[in-house]
Amino acid sequence: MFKSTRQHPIVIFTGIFKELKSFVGPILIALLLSRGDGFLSFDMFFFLFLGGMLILSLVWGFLKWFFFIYDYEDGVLHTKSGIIIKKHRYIKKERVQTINLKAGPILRILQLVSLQIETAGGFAEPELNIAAVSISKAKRLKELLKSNHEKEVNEGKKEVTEERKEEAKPVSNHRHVLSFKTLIVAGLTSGGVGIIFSIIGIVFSQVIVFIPDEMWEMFFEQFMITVDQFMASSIVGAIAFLVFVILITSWILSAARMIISYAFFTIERGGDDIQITRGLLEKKQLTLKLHRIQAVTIIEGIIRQPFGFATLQVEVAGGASQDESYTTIIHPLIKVSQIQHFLDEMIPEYKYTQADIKPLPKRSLKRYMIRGVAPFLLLLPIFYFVPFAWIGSIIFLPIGYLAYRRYKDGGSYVKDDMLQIRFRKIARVTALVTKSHMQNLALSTNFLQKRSRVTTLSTTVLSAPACMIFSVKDVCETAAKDVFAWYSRSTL
Amino acid sequence: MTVPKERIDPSALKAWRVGGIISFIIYIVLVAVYFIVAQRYPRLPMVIGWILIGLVLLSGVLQVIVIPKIRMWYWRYEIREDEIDIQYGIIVIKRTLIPMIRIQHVDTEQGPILRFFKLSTLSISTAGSTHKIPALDVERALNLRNEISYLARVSDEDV
Repeated sequence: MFKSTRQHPIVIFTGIFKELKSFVGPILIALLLSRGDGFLSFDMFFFLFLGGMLILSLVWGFLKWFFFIYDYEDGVLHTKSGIIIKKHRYIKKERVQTINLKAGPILRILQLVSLQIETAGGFAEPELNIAAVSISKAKRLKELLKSNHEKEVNEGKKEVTEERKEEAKPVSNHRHVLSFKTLIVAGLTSGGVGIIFSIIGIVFSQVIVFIPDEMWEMFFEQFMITVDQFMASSIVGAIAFLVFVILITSWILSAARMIISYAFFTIERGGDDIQITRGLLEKKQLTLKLHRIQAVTIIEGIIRQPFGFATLQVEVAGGASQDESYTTIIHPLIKVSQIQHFLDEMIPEYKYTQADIKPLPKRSLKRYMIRGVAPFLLLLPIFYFVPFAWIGSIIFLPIGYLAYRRYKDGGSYVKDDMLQIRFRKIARVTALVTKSHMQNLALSTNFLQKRSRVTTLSTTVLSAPACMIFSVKDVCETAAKDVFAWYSRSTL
Repeated sequence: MTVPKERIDPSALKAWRVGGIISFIIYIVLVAVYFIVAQRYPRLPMVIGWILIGLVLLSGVLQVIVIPKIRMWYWRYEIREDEIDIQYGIIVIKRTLIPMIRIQHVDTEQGPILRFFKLSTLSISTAGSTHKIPALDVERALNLRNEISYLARVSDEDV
């Protein structure tokens, strides 16, 4: 029990400091500009303005302080705030993840602290921020919120570990080391070419300005002579050669980057923890708690997919207090047929059954094709009017094919506790999520989709920096309804 | 899969319309300002003014008459023992299911217009998303808040 309280009134003034800080810039500019003409005549206005601002922010600060009230009762922390828009917030004690006490210089002099309370989830702002409160009150509040909380967390953990122990019969240690050959292949197929290519392009375009013309000409002459030996001395050939060189370089660079950061990749499971070690120059080590894993994603890049290879990733939620959330690679390159075996060893909760994924209905194909191709139809006038640009219309081949693949690869499947969602942007992604890690389930349908009885299925899981939404468009309505019914805890 | 049972408070329609009218008035003032300025500077074409008037009228009709009706028509929610089921939308109709155990905190919010109509917006946050049920009767919002808070506390499943 904690009675309705306001913050310490000092907040009114510290708030003003903050607001004044944002005025410093404009004021300085005003001063600098006024230097030229009669300073005095300007002065009066200036001080009037400054005074007005000060009074306004004082009033604003006062109102803000006056209307911010917090109390704690029956395990619920309640805040009431807002001058024009009234806002009440209710946070259950069990949901509080971290309680931070901080004190700046002003607060320290007055023996005050500021208190931030955060719950799970990656919202950037803390859920509750009490800017100034006496140390004793803050400590009491912290005790109230924590006493039970700690106990429950511990109990929860105990339960979890007990469960785990039962599941993982003998506490077996599994260890998997990435072979050198696989690493090289992973590097060469990493598909980071695009990124590096554009980086090189940017650097090149910046540097080009500084090269003196003579040197440029000299270089070009030299270059042409070299190129001459390769092909006919046409400018097109030279450009093609240049592009080719840049492409190869960026390919090698991106492969090297991948190889350096994933060299000696070792993943090891002992009991409830997964430990990952990797890196050639800088050794990185990472420990994951098994029950913090929110989802497994299988990513099949366009280069890797034809060879039956994929990358395995997990989405991890933040721990109770210190560590953050992140997406992390648990296998840089794995044969698709090996995935289930690997998961069984590392994260046995997750089952991957590729063959069972329900494809999208035929009627969705049209929608996928239109969605994929339509934006590029805007280019048609260019192809028509600009000479030779019609060659560009070749772009419709890959675009159309990609749209078709997106349709072909979309799908969803539910079994036991696991939802599998498969979709493609460029790479094909299969997400495995258990019911207990889904934050919600949503079906959204626009009127066109409604007419063809399809819907967009999506779910949210915790991840970095905020959350991850997996969704697949134009799922058959009945299939989506099945998923909805599966997720619902009541009988619909 | 039937639609959720409950509709939101009928006076929400009035609140949305008042909101629509206010923004309509603001747009009209802005257009009027354009006309006044355009009279002084003949270089500004009048045509733009007329186009603006057309747009403002159109958006007025949409915001005051059409959209609130559609919104009201689709808005449904149901609070069951272990989950919240909501449906809303204007062009895209979204149906969302939020398990009670995923709920982190509940907010109620009330601006001046809603206060006048004795309404309040309930927003429900999970660790990864926030969902709003707009314009509920104040009393109802409070009850729901307590209900959700209570139901959500019962469970102690981990995130």
